[in-house]
Amino acid sequence: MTNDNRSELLLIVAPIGRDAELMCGQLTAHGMRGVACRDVREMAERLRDGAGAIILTEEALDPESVQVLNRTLAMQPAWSEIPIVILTGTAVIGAKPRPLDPMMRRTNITLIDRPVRIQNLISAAQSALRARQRQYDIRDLMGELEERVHERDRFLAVLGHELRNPLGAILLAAQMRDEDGKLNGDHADLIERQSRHLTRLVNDLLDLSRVAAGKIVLKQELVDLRDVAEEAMRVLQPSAEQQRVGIRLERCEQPVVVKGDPVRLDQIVTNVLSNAIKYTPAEGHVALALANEDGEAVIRVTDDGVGIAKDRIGAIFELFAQAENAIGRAQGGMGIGLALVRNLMQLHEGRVEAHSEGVGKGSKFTLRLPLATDAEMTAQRQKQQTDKRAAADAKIPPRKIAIIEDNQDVRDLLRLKLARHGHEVVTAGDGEEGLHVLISQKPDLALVDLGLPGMDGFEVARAAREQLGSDVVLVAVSGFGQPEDKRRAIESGFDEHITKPADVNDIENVLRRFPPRNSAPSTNV
Amino acid sequence: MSSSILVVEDYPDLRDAIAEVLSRNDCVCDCVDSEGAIAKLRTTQYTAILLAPRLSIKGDPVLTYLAQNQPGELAHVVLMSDPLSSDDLPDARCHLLTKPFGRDELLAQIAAAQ
Repeated sequence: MTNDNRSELLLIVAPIGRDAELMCGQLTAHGMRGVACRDVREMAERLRDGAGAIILTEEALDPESVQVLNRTLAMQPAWSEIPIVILTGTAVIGAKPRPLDPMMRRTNITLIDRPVRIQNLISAAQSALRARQRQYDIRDLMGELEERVHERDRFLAVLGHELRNPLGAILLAAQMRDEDGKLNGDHADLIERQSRHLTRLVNDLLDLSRVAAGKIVLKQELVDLRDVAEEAMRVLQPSAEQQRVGIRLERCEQPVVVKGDPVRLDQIVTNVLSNAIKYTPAEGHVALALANEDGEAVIRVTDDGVGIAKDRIGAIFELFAQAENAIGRAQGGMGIGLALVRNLMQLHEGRVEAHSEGVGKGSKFTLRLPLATDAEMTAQRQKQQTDKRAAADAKIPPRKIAIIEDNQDVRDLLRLKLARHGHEVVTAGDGEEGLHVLISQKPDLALVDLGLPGMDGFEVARAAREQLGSDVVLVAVSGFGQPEDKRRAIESGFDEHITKPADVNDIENVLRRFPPRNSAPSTNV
Repeated sequence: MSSSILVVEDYPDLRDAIAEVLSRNDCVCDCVDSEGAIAKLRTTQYTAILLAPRLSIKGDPVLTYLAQNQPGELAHVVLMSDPLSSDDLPDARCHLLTKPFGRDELLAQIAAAQ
């Protein structure tokens, strides 16, 4: 008997005459299922396998049976309070208390006086079964939640593991300064490479959470996947070279244009390609191919790497299922990237499939997206070309920029980067000092960390707006990139919001959007 | 006196960084991924083995090979791993270096394992 069936089963203890048999008959006639038990002890045995409710006659409850019943009820799990229907004997006014009276105060008991009307018994039994079904539902829900908590714990353990290798490489490289305290180019490259890897990991994690919450909104435009593929190849070429894996793009002569978010499409292709490189040993090969097939844009990423076991193919895009096997794998691979790929493909009304002949036999990932129409393709391509030319023409004149950031390393790095691009930079380490710098130095643009100690970035923005009006461009810099965070920043007086870690490109893009004020730029660079 | 160290690590950037720290401190290193480790151990004697165990730590093939063929070498193994309790160490003779680690911890554990 299955658990579900057991939740509909009524255990009946009616030791005198044919009461049990008659009750079973009536219950069956009303679509329920009763099982007669010899006594409370047998009922307690059967209850261990699960039941929907208990029906007892009062004469079955001698003191020893009440004890057995009490013990049985006390052993129930937290979710369980089995309903009990008791058919009482005739009550005599002034009679001594029944043995079941103390039990009634802490158990789900319904009393039905005899002689019993059938419809009362049926109604009580149906009500008891409904109540019991709710308890089983709660049990199942608790089980699911418990499993999710375990999955989350396993995931966090794998995440911790995943972060250790890149952090270890960064730490050792950072400690290899020359005698003059400077890092050589190789070490700086390693630190940058691993920092970018960690940034991608964190971004993917945040994006997964945003997809799950339905918070990713695609900025749809027409995108030629050949551009996306070339960019992914360019970005991943260094890591492929470092792993001595050959990567090749099989170019497509025809445009492969889809309607989608270019940033997300780039994320999809980069993640699949990066996954293939990661799981291909040195001297192996990875190929990225594009095609127009049957009204669909098709991206194929093929490798001759470690392959996928047949029984793992189905779980390859499952975040937690991948995490399950990832501990101890030096290359990492908790499946964040692939889980995100699947979700982003679904958002684009596309699909992704993995194929492998087995472990050691390489893998093939096939992504399919709906092709754009010819008319849309032509119009969009012209617009993109115009925009590209306009962006390339926009030169950034030197500006006076304030950095208000409590993390000294982040502050110094931003200062150096911006100074290298010719800007005059002033800095502050907290909100109060930052506000003073804004008012006294009157920069063109201020990058303000939102999570400042004491006076936070929102307060700085509000106070700066009050005192400086629109004379300064205020840019919020924070680790929180959700639309809600951006909205709050704009409401506090910021003009823009960028998510940490701020890249030179991000800052330059903001600078492009805000042309300098009429006053001549400072020459004190 | 220079030491000869076998570094077994599949994460290339970490393996390269470890190798450079060790070579700057007068150690001679052979660096391999886990596939190549056993072949090296068959032919070469090392003063210490720096090992990132694969998959389940108790099922690491290098540790299994050492336990079966060169059990005395286990005392010269430094496991680079997530934090482990002493109960989880596959062999009590192994040394533990918790990732991520810095130069000083690395050199200290190598010295202890020789």
